[in-house]
Amino acid sequence: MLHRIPALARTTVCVAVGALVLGACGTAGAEKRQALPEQADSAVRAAEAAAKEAADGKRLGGTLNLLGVLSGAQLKAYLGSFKPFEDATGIKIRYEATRDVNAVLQTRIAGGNPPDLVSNPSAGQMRGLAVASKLISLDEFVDLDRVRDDFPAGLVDLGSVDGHLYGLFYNSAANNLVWYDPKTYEGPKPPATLADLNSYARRLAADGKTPYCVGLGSGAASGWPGASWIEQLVLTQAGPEAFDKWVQGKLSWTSPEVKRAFEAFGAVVTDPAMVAGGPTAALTTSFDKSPQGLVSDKPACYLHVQADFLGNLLASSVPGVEPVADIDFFPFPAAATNSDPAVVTSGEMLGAFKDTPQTRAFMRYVASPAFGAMVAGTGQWISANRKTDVASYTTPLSRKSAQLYASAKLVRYTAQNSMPLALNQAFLKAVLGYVKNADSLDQQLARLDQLRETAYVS
Amino acid sequence: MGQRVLLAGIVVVGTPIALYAWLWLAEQVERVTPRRFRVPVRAWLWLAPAAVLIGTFLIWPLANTGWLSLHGADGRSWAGPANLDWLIRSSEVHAALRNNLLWLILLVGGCLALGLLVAVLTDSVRYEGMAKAVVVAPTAISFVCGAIIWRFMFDYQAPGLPQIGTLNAAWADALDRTPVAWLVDTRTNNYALITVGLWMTLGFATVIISAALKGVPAELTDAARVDGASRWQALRYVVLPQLQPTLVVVATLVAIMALKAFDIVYVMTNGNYGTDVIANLLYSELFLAQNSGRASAIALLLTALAIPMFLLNAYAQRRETSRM
Repeated sequence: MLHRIPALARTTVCVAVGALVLGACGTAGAEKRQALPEQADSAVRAAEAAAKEAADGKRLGGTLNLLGVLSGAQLKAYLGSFKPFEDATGIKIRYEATRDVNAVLQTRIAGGNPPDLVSNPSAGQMRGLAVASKLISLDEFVDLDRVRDDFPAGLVDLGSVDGHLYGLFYNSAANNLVWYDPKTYEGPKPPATLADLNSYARRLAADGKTPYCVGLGSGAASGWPGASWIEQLVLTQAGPEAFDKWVQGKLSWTSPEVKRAFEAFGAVVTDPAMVAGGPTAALTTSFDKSPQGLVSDKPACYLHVQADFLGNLLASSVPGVEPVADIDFFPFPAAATNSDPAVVTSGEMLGAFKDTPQTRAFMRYVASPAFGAMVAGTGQWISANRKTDVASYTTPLSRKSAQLYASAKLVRYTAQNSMPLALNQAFLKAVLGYVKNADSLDQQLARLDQLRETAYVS
Repeated sequence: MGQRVLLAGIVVVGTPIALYAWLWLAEQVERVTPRRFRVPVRAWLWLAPAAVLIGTFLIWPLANTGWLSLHGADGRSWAGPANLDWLIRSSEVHAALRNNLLWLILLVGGCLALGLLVAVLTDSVRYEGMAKAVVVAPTAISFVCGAIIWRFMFDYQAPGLPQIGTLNAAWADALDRTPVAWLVDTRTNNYALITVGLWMTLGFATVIISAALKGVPAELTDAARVDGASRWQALRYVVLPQLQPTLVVVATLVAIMALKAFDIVYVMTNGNYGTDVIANLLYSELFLAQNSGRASAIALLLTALAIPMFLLNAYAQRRETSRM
């Protein structure tokens, strides 16, 4: 999930507050960052050509307002992938960052002042906007056949309503990879089944070592790393049919399939012997700080479940951490030896609110494989475009997760971001409530079920 | 951008011109009206601009909120009293209201007691300005920034790790106790949030109380002292009664702040672990559940709770003016 980066957001706020309260934020800003990888010249030229073609060879000029959720180094990498478009068409992209994209979008739409474009991590909300005819259909100017050819069917479906295309994915992140430090990890590589992974973790706990680091903190979105883990367990343990029904609101939260996933998550996070610092530390530690326990001098833990961005995040925030040598991952293990690992993905979807020559050119550019190569070239994300060459990935970890994504047989888009927003929020709150008080599980699930009755109506 | 600057300029220059034009027009109208209607015509014409503004920006939105509260999530289908019914039955609303009550009592009580204390103690001492500046400074910071700063203060690390948060550094590291997860532990979290609210509002209360204190004529206290009253008696029986209308005004304003508490809760806990307040509930109903009916019902409840404060405030202010 590339959209939640509170450490970076915090730094910006601190700059604003800094004048008044010196020193309060000192620790947050002093991180050494690895430089972003350079885009290959040939890729940039190909992207410029694609942008020119997207604009019908015209230099359109003007500006496009793009509303999104990124900041800091990730935003820099993100905007870099649009640089060839800006250079080739003369269109300037003005990015407006907000951590509260739902509220900002709704307010601006209601006020008759929507942005030109949005880059939204919630496919569920984009669907709502398309159904309410706020987003424009891309059918008229984007080559649909090519889109269906180039993008995974599941992602095209998520961006379509009644057969019309409204959104294209910027990227696709592989979630819930199991991260470890190759220097301290002594378990099976990779574990053949979930049971193998669990027994290694139990063995560590029996030796008095806490196997997992967990951080659920993420501002108003706290709880999402847990929700992500739980949806992975639903998919891995109960299979794709149950997962799909659950996401669509046709499977109850109190059903054994969903409850078993919560319990498997709880077996780790609510057990002080299994998680570094115990459940309270899991609740109070932010998701980007907690994995540092993997690579600290005296390891606080040996396993960490997080999306594919983690390797680069650690390398850029902890001095001396080298991807692959100090931090590596294996896919979330399958339930049984003969089944394939299931991959849950997330990603930002791009959509347009205004039909202008500029937005048309922009969306056409986004649909092009040359743009996919630019996304891959950022070294941060997997391109959603299947035509993206593995060679375009500039960092070893992003290449590895891209290969996993390309070869996975069972892929599903994240449940929390496909659900109606109210249910999404309640899901996150239930995760926190459960970790705070392990006995409250039935009560939490019953409340989610109650909300499920009404949440899907609109 | 250029257009906006131009618009702002037009508004700044245009508004007084339009108002003068209106008054001139009113005079012309008055001139041609029969003598006996002149007074009411003038009154209504002069009232009209304010009435139009209040109608557009207060009455109409309020009526619209009322109308929405009787409709479903989409704001179109008729729902009747369903939203009100939900408001009365929902355990979430009850929990939030209980927390708001806690906010109300502690924030108002804290602001009055500490504000009075600071105002009296610093009154006419040499370093008064500096002492008050320390209390007032936080009001210059937005609630969101204040909440973020305090998140660092309340930071929790598992026992055995170095404590980064100021409070736990003192409590756990210096006093050698088990660190407390201030924002997660249900015994402390509401008080932790209200402390932040108090830190951010106290300056406002202090400034007003202090100003009123300076307005109490020195002759009164001097006379009381000459008559043999102790310092405490002079404060209790002479100064406090003089301050009473001001204290009521401060109390009502702070009470309204307590009712609409949102930013601190949203940033620090987002209402988790039993810290939800009514305004945060409004936010999640409006923007997450997208249920304008329920959100409007909550807004009306909030308005209804605030109205007694407004009345009390208006009453106190009127009494104060009539005294002068």
